[in-house]
Amino acid sequence: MKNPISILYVDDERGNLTSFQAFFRKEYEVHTASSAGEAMRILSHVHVDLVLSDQRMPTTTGVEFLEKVANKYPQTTRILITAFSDLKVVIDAVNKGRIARYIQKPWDWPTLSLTVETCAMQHQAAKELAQKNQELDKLNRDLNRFVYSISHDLRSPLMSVLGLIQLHDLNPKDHSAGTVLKMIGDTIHRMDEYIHQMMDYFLNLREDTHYETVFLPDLLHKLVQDAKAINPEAHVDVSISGEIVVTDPFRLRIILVNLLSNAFRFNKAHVDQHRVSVRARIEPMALVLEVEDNGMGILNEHLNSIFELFFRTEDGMQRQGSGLGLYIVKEAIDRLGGKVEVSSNPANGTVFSVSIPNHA
Amino acid sequence: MHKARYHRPIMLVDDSSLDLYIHRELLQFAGYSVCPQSFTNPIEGLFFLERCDSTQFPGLILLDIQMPRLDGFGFLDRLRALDLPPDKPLPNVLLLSSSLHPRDLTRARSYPLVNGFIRKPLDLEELAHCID
Repeated sequence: MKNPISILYVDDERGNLTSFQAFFRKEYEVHTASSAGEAMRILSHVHVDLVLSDQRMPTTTGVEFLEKVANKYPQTTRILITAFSDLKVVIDAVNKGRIARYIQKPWDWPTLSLTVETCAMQHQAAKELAQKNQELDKLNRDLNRFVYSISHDLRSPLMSVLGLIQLHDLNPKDHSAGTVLKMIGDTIHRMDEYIHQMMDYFLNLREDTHYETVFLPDLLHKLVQDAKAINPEAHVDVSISGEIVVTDPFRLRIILVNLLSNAFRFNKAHVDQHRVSVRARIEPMALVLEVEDNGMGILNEHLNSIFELFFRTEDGMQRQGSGLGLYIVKEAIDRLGGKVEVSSNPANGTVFSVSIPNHA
Repeated sequence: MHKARYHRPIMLVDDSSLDLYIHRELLQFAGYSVCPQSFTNPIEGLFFLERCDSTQFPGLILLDIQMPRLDGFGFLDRLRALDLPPDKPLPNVLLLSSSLHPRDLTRARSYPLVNGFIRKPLDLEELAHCID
């Protein structure tokens, strides 16, 4: 397997560039440049991890060039190659070019190769660390928002329940136990759904993907039945082509549950018949899903935000989302290496199209 | 049971229509006058304030803090910026929230229009204490 590290080698002697390229190209992605100017152009277009530069070049010296690189692309690992053992050059290279290694010319291939390999490994480790840090950072931010939102989102339905009880206590004639209990029940169901979504959120974050054979018709029909309870009057049709798909059943369920519950929940007022249509197609390499409804649709201005954490719009009492559902859907699809698209407008409703890999 | 002494119309803004329903019922039961329209979307509430005539104009707004997109503070900022005629003086505001975040409390103090902060569920005694 090719090393994911890419190298840029700068030297005004073409012969060196050719032999360097020939020696390393099997293992690394190698770019070469015969001048500092050309090298800077390459750096501005492609991602480079290791920069090796010869010291003696006509217009710009290696140290001057590496200093520029250090300032503009500090995340690169830089190596100076020179035939001169001028102490001043070496000091400048270390202090200004902030180089990681210094190679004497003429080089011998084993030493050069070992140096490049060591630098590549260190660079890769630093890259992975930076990436891990970024992930941790995101996790931390999500957690902070979670604490703030949860304190509100979990208390809020409880406070509504208390309000309903108070209403009944004060005025049992207009607010009978039956009507109040019904509303309390609905509120509790919504809260329960919210808690399930939170659990899904964390499980999706932490659990590794794990593939199993899934018999899609059973799963899909069951989940459609469950979701229909949200809106029993809705008309639904399901079409499935193929039966067996190999995927992560937990994440497939997350995706389906949330898309289906949205499709049933967000119906349009004053429309005779709410319709939900679910189409699933198992292909050799992918499972393609479409969930369509003729509901209230999503305003164009919101289309870019619907997959964000805690994004929701204000709406009716039975319908307000938790701001978690589509976020979890997106995260689950990302984890599976799939993709999701949405097309929607308030006139016609919404279609979510999902494609996830089939590991059959 | 407390009986209302505040008689100007009260407008409700809350993203939860269940809470709007509960508050409307409670307030009317206690004898307050509630604007016929209440708003789950704060922007529509602001439009209403701009357009309505002075007889419909509320003396007080019960405003939820945590709302998606435009929260209670965003609403207050826009409310202050409205160019209203003299017969529609800026209403007072009571902030409502199901979770009192210290940060929100501090922030509320910078708005002179806000004359109280009430935690849900809305308690009629507490409301009376703030407005009557």
